[in-house]
Amino acid sequence: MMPIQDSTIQIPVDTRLAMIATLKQSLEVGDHILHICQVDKFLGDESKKGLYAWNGFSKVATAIEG
Amino acid sequence: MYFTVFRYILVDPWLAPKDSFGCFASLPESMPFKACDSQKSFISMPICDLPKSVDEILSNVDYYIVTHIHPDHIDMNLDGTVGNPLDKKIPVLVQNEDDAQIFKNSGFANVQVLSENGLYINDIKITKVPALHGTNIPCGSAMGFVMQGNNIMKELNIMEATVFTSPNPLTLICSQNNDGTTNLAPICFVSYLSFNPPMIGFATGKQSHTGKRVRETGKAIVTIPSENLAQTVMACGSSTGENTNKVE
Ligand SMILES: Cc1cc2nc3c(=O)[nH]c(=O)nc-3n(C[C@H](O)[C@H](O)[C@H](O)COP(=O)(O)O)c2cc1C
Repeated sequence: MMPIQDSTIQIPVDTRLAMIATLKQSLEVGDHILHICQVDKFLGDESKKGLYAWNGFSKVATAIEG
Repeated sequence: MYFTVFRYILVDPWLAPKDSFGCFASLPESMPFKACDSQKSFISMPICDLPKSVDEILSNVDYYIVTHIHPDHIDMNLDGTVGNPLDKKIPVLVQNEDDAQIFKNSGFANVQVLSENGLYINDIKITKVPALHGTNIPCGSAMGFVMQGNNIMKELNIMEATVFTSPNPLTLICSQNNDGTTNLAPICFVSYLSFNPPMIGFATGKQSHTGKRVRETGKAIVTIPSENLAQTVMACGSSTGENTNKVE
């Protein structure tokens, strides 16, 4: 884990993108609650390959380009 | 361009309850059917229950296809009529005129003989192909069929739809626990919402610890995990941070 400036929340070291966010509104949507946030800062590391959810949400892996 | 939303074609709709038909050896003389393998003559049929109720199976059916009239492919009565539980207004496709006559005598209003030239149901072509019924000992004529179409769309539920949209965006949302430690949860219900100001949205189940903590603290870091975190992501998705510290 690594600290993020101006935040008390830490993030994993192996992160491609971090969106440091402040909640603006929450809204009940069916069986979920939607959290609407403003992003205060985006931090990215393009050398890291991001993960996606495959086969619905049952498996996580990187995306194949092309 | 238009799409066909196809619901169901029911093939060989034999709907008798488990064991209700008896075995081949016990059939009356009016039903001269034999099992090719003598051992199989004594197996009580059907050998298993239907996966759903008959009403559920028959709801939304557009067509029946009956490859041949044998008592283990279509419900048969001692008087020679067939297809008792079926809705007789639904069209039936059969292999030849003999079988068509049996369906007509059984009260089916719309019986069509499928041919090698095929027929179209909207933009789906169904073509009869030869079928070999019985391997060593021939068991009578039967048909196979091939379905071809371009714009065939099937009805899905939302879970099935998520498979079609895969790969789906995946985030690992970091929030702050009561004791100041960080909690991690994989969340896929996420989207950009606005450029200016930059806004994003994510949805969590009503019981989600992540959701509760974000609403209590007003803060979250929405991260895109990199490939080394694949196992961690799945592990964080199978426990809640309510009482456990997932980071440890
Ligand atoms: C790939 C994946 C995607 C998920 N997406 C969501 C989601 O969008 N919303 C949600 O509430 N839970 C989602 N979950 C389930 C939560 O991650 C899971 O319930 C987790 O235990 C919640 O942790 P928490 O109680 O500490 O917040 C997902 C799980 C996986 C594995």
